[in-house]
Amino acid sequence: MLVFLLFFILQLAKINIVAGSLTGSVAFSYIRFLDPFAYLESLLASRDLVAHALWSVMLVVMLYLILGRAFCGWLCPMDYAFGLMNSIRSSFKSRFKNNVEGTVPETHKKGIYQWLSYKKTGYLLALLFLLTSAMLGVPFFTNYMSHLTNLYRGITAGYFALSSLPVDIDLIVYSLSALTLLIVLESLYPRLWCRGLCPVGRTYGLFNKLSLLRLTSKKDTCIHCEACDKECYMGVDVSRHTEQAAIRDTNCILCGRCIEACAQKGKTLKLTFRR
Amino acid sequence: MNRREFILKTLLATTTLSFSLLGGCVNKTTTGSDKEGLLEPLPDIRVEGYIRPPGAVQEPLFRARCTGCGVCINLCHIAKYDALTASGLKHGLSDLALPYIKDFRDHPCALCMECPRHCPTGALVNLQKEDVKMGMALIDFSLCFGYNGDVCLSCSKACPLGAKVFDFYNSEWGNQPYINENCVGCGLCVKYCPLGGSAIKVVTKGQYEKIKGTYIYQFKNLMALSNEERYNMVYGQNLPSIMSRGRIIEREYR
Repeated sequence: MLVFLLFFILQLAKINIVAGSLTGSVAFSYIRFLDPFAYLESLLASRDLVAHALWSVMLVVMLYLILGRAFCGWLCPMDYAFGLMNSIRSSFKSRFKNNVEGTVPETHKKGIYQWLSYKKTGYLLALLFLLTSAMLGVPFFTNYMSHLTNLYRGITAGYFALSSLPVDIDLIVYSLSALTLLIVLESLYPRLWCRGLCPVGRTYGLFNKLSLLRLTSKKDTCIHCEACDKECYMGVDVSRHTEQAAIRDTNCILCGRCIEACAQKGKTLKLTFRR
Repeated sequence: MNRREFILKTLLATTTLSFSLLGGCVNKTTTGSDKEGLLEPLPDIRVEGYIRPPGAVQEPLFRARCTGCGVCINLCHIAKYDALTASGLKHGLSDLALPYIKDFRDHPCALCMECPRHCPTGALVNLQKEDVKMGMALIDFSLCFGYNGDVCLSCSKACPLGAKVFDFYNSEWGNQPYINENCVGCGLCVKYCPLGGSAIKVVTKGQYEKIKGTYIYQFKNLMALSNEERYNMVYGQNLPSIMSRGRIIEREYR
C-alpha cells in the first residue's frame, strides 16, 4: 500500500507515473482508471453513458474480476491507517492486549455495532448514496465523503499550499475534517467502516463472488484451531467456510492474514487462481 | 455513556467545530494581482462562478460527471503549469472540490489539452484548441497601454490562437487591441500583460453573455470620442492610474 501511495506522491514531484487518485487515475499518461462506485454515481447523476468513462471503468472491473476485493487489503490507504491505529491502541490499552488487531470488544458485539455491520446495512447505504447522487445530480459520496478522494485531495492541496501554488485553503480543511470523522468513527467502532458501511468496499466485495483469485481451504487438513477467525479483522468466519472449497464472503479482502496465522501453514488455507 | 465514550464524543465535537471555524477564517484568496498589492482590472465586474478546465461540458452535466479524482489537477502540475486547483466553499457546497482555474495572473491555462485527453470520467471532452469555451477575456480600456497612446501587443503575442482572436483598431491613440468572441479564455494574455496587476480579466462565458451589452457599448463609446475628449480622458484619468500601478513589471516570454 505504501508503495502505491508513493507512486501517487511522486506526481507532486512532477514525475509522471500515476496522476490522480485512487478514485480515478491515469498511469503513464496512457491508461485511465476509474473506481466502479464512483462511475456508478456519476452515471446515475448525469444519466448518460460516456464511452470514455466506460473504458476506464471496464479496465478496473476486469482487474478486480481477477483479483476480487484485493483493493481493500492491498491498496486502500484507510485500511492501512486503521490498522496502524489499532496497533497503536492495542499496545497502550490492556483491554485490547489479548485481542488481535481490529477485533471488536465485547461491548460492541451487540446493539448498534452489530446492526450497522450487517452487510445489508452497507448495501442499503450504498443504494442510498446512489439515489442521492441521482436526485442531486452530483456524485454525492465520491465527491463529498469518500476517504479516497478526500485523502488525495488533501495531500495535493496541502502540497500546493506549501509551495505557494493557487489553492483554496478551505478545501484542505474540508478534506481533513472528512477524514477526521472517519478516524473518530474508527476509534468508536473499530473496523465498522470497512466491514459494513464503506460503499466502495461493498462494490468491490461483489467481485469476490466471481473473481479468479480466491481463498481456498481443504477440509481434511483443518485442525479447527480457529486461529484464522481470530486473525481476520474483517469479521469473516474463515473456519466456518472450510466446508466449502472456496471462501467467497464479500467481506474477505484477500489480505492473507489468515494464511499466515494458520497452524497448518500452507496446507489448509491458500490463495489460488481458479483453473 | 462511560468516560471513554464521553471523551471520544467531546473530541469529535470539538474537532469538527474547530475545523469548520478554521475553514471560515482562512477562506481568503490570494491571486497574482493581490500579491502585487494592486486592484484587479475592471473592478466593477465581479467574476461569477468558476472557470473550468478546457473541454469541460456544460455546467450541470459537468457537475454530475466529475468525481473529483484530481487527474486534471495533477496532470497540470506535472506539466508545470499549475493552473488548475480544486474549488473550496466559496460558492457553496454544490461546487465543492471541482477543478477550476484560480489565478490567471500567475498560473494561466496554456491550452496544452492534457487534461481533457486524460479525464477518466468524461467530464472533460477532448476538443481542438479553437473550440474550447472556458471563458472570455475582457480588456480594461482605461488601463491597457494600447488604448492610452502606446503600442504594446503583449497580449496578442501571448495568445495561443493569435490573429483569430484579436481585432486591432489602430489610431493615434495606440494600436487598440480588441478581443473578440473567438476567445477561449485561457488567460495567457492576463499573465503576459506588462501592466502591474494586468489590464485583462477573464470571466465565464455565461457571465460574458450577461455583461456583453454594456461592455460593447463602452467600447463603441470610446471609439466615438472626439480627440479632445479622448485627450482629457487619457491624460486626465488613465495615465495617472496606470502610473500609480508602479513600474512596468518585466516578464519573460516563454
